[in-house]
This record gives sequence, structure tokens and C-alpha cells, in this order.
Amino acid sequence: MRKPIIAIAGLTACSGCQLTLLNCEAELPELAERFDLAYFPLGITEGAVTGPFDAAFVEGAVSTPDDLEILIKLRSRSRHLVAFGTCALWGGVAAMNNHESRNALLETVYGEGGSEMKSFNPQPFRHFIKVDFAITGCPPEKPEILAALAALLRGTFPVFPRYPVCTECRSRENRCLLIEDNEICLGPLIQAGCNARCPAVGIICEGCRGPVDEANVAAELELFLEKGFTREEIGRRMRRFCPEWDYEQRS
Amino acid sequence: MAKDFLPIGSIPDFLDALATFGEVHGPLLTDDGVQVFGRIASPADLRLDYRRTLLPPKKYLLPPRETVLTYAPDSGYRPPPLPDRDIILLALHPCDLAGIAYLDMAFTSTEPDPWYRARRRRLTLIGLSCEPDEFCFCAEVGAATPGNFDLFLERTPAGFHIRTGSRRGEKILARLARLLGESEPALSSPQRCNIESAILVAVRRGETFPYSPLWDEFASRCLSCGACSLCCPTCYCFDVREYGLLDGESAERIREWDNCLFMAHGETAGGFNFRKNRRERFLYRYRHKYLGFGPTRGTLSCVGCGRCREVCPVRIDLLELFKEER
Amino acid sequence: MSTNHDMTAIPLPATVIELRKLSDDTTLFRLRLDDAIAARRLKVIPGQFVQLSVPAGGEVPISLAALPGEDGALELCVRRVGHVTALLHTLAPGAGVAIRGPYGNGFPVTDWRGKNVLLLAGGLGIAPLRSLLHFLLRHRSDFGEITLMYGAREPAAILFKEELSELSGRRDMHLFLTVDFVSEEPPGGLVCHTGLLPGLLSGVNFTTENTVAALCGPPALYRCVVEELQGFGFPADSIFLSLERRMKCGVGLCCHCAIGELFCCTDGPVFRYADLRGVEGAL
Repeated sequence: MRKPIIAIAGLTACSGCQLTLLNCEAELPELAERFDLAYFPLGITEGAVTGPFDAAFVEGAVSTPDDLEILIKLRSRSRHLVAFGTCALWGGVAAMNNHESRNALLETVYGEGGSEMKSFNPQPFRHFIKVDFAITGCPPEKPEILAALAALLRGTFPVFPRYPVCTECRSRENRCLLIEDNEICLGPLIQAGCNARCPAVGIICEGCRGPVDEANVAAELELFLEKGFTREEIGRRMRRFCPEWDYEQRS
Repeated sequence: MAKDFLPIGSIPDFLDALATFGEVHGPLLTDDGVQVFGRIASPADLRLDYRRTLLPPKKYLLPPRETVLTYAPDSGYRPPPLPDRDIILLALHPCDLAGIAYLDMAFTSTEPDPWYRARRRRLTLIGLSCEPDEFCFCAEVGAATPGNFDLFLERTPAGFHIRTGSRRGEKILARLARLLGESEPALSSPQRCNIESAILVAVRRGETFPYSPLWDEFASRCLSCGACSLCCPTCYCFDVREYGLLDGESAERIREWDNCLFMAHGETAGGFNFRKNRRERFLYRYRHKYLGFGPTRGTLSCVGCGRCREVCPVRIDLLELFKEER
Repeated sequence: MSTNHDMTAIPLPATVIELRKLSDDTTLFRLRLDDAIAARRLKVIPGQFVQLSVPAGGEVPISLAALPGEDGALELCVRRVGHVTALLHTLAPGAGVAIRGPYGNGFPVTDWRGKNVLLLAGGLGIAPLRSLLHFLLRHRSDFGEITLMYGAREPAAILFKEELSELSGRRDMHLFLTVDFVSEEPPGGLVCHTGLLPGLLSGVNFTTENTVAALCGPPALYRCVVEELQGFGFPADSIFLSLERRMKCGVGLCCHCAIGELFCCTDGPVFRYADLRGVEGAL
């Protein structure tokens, strides 16, 4: 079997997704043996974007002209381009204030003259290029990363379930923070795969894995309002990892 | 007088005796205050006064997710070792016993499922009488009379009348003899919940409420969280998925609880969906629950435990359909 | 006894022995169970399906496109549409797969003795009807007139072209082909109409007396073809439809494939139209 040639790269992001891959310590020797890691700036000092690649795993949101250039370069040289993590798929935390003035944000962070920096609102890949597969999560879960890599050895991608966090949460028999404690838990709206990591330790789902396919956003919104949360707070919570919700969506 | 009375003070000894037959599991309270079935490590864990557990006992027969087959090029598909421990499941209410009876019918009659069967053989069921609360309605669906148990405990203020329902139960009871006293008079009659039988009447008629406005209302509110099916003692739809391993050769096939209210439930390869909208999916759920599919055709599967009403974040309640009917 | 049911739950190893590309996205796979005795013992009713496992991809229900060969080989006509079928299409002869089954009821061919049979196939729906046709031709004298009407999207999408051109030369059956649109010359030797299958039905002559119709095609096809057939006076219990659903287990357990209160996998996949009439979501 020919070793798949892989690129692993990051755009505007914290490198957490790539670090999660590096944290798959038990599997790293096998990964090194099975794959040709041709481009991996975070893990390998040498190397330029050459290609062609069988797959590029790209982390982060697109928020600078440089980001876009790298992304397009990787896209054009890779058979499969994988949106690696929530930022790549939905925009992620960097995009939570996309609804506010870009210039004002830049000046708040970088002071006067900040608005002259070459950057734009952080955006997910699909605004610019075709994405072949996505591994969501902030950061993604190790088993999903490994399943994707294992499938790639056979030239394909795995099928992940498309249900929300609640499904895994109920399976674990966690206390329901939404019903029992009237907390603003996003579990029903968010793609599962984390095995309800946060609710299992009593923390509400913050939505770090982004929307689930058939999220009933409108009904969840009504439920939160009924529980006494303000539109402002609900919006702030929901935008944290994904700036673009369709608040009218029911299915 | 028959010696069939277990005084309440003998519970610890009772648990010890049961432990000689297998690992004892029963209702307990988790640290976050959830009632679940779990391993009873000490008598203090056991909550005989529980109302209902979050997940029904089906998790002992059909785990939420299990590896059913592993693949390797030279040996092909093989099942992993099946469980080899006996479990004594204690204090099941009649509705949960009825739930298991239904699963037994689905999984062991026409096309026996080897994974289910292996677990079922190693499971001993000990029932416990209960008192209804505002969510349950077992009498309404005919599941109030206990059945499908090895032993059944009928509660009285001072202890429990024990009766047997199987050979295995008799064997266990024989071992308990020294703990048992003479019968005390039983409570007059076990309490009954809702007596109206609107459900049975509608089901017998094959009613599907095609014109009810409730379907659209359910469909617009439902969050597709899956809780109603996960927590249903008789929902057993499963999904099957397979994942390759990193050696590039072997693979693992899992099966996992599915939910007919999920969009993916009716999808075929290529994306065509036979139940595109949530309304159609609700009708599918109703039909399965109340009228039955395939080998369970004509069998009402709802046991009236009330879990789906309690765990729904938006309080969807299929019973409203029957209320409209009255 | 226990081995018997385990064999239906656990896929048996099989090997891809031959591939035949039928169109851009559809290939005929010939497979054989590795256990030669089990392979020869396979009994198949036309219209039945198997659960095909492609390691690391999973399982898919595929109808048998032919009766088992002398060597026990099975023919599966598979379109590349999803995860498992895409992986299947990467395999070469010699690759290991696995099979459970056959499952389902198949066409009630024994009840059809002495009758005329009209086969109506749309697109990939030709697959189960091909096994039915093979059966009918093998027992030719048991049946009256045999007519196959087959519609495809375009000439390039017509499957089994060589076989069809052979069949078109037979005097003991009628063959009518149609394509939705023509973007190229029809394949050599085949006479081809243009238009949809219901149109073909009303445009050619065939016997409706003492005739059963067997229909398989994409979901959109059934309703209009059934309507057309009823217009010709076919009673509802003489129209047989082979339906597709998401059959995950094949044995009536997983509950994905119910049609009304019937399971596609165990009560079907072949249904009389009479049993589907009025069932919401059936067609």
C-alpha cells in the first residue's frame, strides 16, 4: 500500500487541533510509519508547500490575505482538503465578534493604527474553497482524528454520526442541565462526538463542536426565552464558536 | 404458612446471598443525583424507593454502543468475546419487566440476535412493586401486572413478599430460605394509576390520527435530541457503522442506539430520504410504538413508564393524541 | 442450530473474482464465498438481496443481479453512491469482502406459472429484474409471454448493453428500451425509444390479460408506472414492486426500513401493489 502523502497546516488559530494530533502519543509511531508527512510546519522544521498531497488537514479560520493564499495553495495541491477543527468548519472563537465593526475591534486589541492591519472577518473554509471532509471540535476528539486517518489509508473518509450532544449525554446518564437546572445548555443544537465531555462533569455544552445538521434552532431559542434568558445572552452564547446561525431554522 | 416474606432489615443479607449468583445491579443515585441502574457495591447504594431510572434496563441487553464484529484479513469478521458474567438486576418495576419482555420478543423470536441473546442468558430479573407518579400510566397500557421476572418482590410496610417466576428464581429463592419469614398480610391491592384505557382502544382500532394538528405541533417543537428513544424501555432501533483501524487492514463494526426522529434514520446511500420531515418521522415513531412493525406487528410496545414525557426538554407527549381522542 | 443463526448474523468471507464496468458509476461485481460448500449451497429466489460487507466501510444491502452461477458465484450490480459502495469500487479481483444472506422474499415466481410476465426496470432497477429474467428464461416453458421494458437516463447509462443486444435477438421474449434524453448515438445494435418508462408502456403493444408486472426503479418511478399499469387494467394484486429502503440489518431488527407496518427487509423487498395501496410513504 502506498503511503498517503499528508499536509498538516494551520491558519488563524491556536494550533490546538494540530497539538491534539501530536497528543495521540500512543499512535504517533504508527502514524509516522503509515503516512508520508510531507508538510507539517508545527511538527517538522524543514519543508515548503510542495505537494501534491493526498490530503491536507488544515486548522483555523481564514482571516488574512496570507491565510487565504496558503489555503488556496493547499487546496490546489491536495486531492482531499479536510477542514480540521471548528474554526476551519464554522469560524470558531476568532469569529465570535464578526457582527461588530472590524476596525473598532482591531483598534481595541492593537491600539491606534490597528485598523490598518491586513485582516478581515475570520471565516470558515467553505466561504472560499470546496471542503471534502470535516473533523469538527475545539479541539477535535482524538478518536475522530484517528478514524479519519485510518480511513484515508483506504482512500476514503469515515461516517460520523449526525446527532446532537444530548444523545451522547443521555446515554451516559448525566444530569440534564437544561431540564433539571434550567441552564443555557446548547446540547440539543451541537454536533456530538465528544461523548458529552462537559455536561458529564456538570458544565453546560458551550457549543464548541458547532451546529448539528438538523438543529431546531428556533425551538431551542423559544425554550431559552421561556426559561428567562435574554436574546442578547442567547446570541452571545451561540456565537461563541459559530457566528452564523439561522435562528429561524427548525429542521 | 408459606415462608416467602423478606423483612426489610434483611436486605443486606439478601444482597449478599444474591451476590453468590452474580454481580448485583439495581437502582442507585449518582453523585449528580440521577437515578440509574448500576452496580450495587454496598446495601447503602440501593434505592428501593426510586421512581424511575434515566435509562431503562435495556442498556444491560443492548448497550448504547457496542462492537459487534471485528475484521482482520485472515480471519474475516468475528464477534468479540461476549460477556461472561452473570448479572442480577434488582428492583425492576413491572413496566421495565414488560419492556424487557418486548425486547425478548423482538430479539430472540424470529431472528435471534447472538449479542442480545448472550447477554439475556446471563441476566436475572428481580421485580419490585411500585407506586405510580404523575408521569407513568402503566395500567393504561396493560403493563401494570408484573411478568417476565425470575423473582418478584411485593412491597409491604415491613418488608417484601417474594414470589418466583422461573426455575432460576426458584433456585435463588431456595438459597434465601434462611432469610425468609412467614407471610405477613399483603397490602390490599397494588395501587393503580390512570385507569382510562384510551390507548388500548385506539390501538385496537389501528388508529394513526392522520388528521391531528398535533403532528405539526410536535414536529415544530422537537429538538431532535434523541432523549425519548434513548430512555424508552422498548426503543431498540440501531445504527451500524464500521471504522478501519490504523494498520490499514483491520476494522471494527459497531452498533449504536438510533432514533427514528433523526433525519438520517430514513436516508439511503446517495442521500434520498424516505422520511424527509420531522412530521413523517413522528408518525413513524407512533406507528412503531403503538402498532408495531414486522414481527412485533400488532403489539403495543409502550409500557407506560413515563420516561419519554419526563426527559423531553420541550415536553412533547404522544399521549396528547389519545386525550384528544376521548 | 446455533451455528445456523450465527451464520446469518456474521458475514461469511467472500472474494471478488471479476469486475465488469457497466457505466461511469456502475460495476458488476462477481463474488464467491470462500467456503466452496457454502457457495454451492446458496439458494436464491430472484429478487432477494444480500448484505455485502466491505471491510472498513461497512455493510450495504444489494440485490442479486443473477442467480448463483454453477461455481456459486454471485453477481452484484453496484452503483457508486455512498460510503461503502465507493470503497467497493476501489477493489480489484482477489479482494476480500463478506456476505450475509440471501434475505427478503423475492418474486413469487412459483405463483406466476402459466402467466405472462412484464418486467419494468428503471435505471439500476434492472439489477433484481435481471435475476428474475434469468429465472424466467431458464424455466421458459413455465411462463407465457415475457416482456422487458427498461428505461435509462441516457444511452451511456444503459446497463448490460451486450446482454440486451443478445436478448433483442431472442424470439421467445420482447425487449423495449427507452432513454430519457439522447445526447449521443444509441449504442450499437440497440433499438431505443426516447422518453420516460410510462411513455414507453403506452407506446408499445404488450399483453395485459393474465399478466403480472414486476417493477423496480428509482423512488420517483413507482407511482407513475403503477398508475399507467392500472390504466391498462392491471389489478393491484398483479403488480409487484421491488422497493429500496435503508436496510441496515436485513433481518427485521434495526427498524430502519418499515413501510407502514411492513418491513422492507423481511416482508419485502417485493410487495404486491395491493398491499401498499394507501400506506403512507410507501411509494
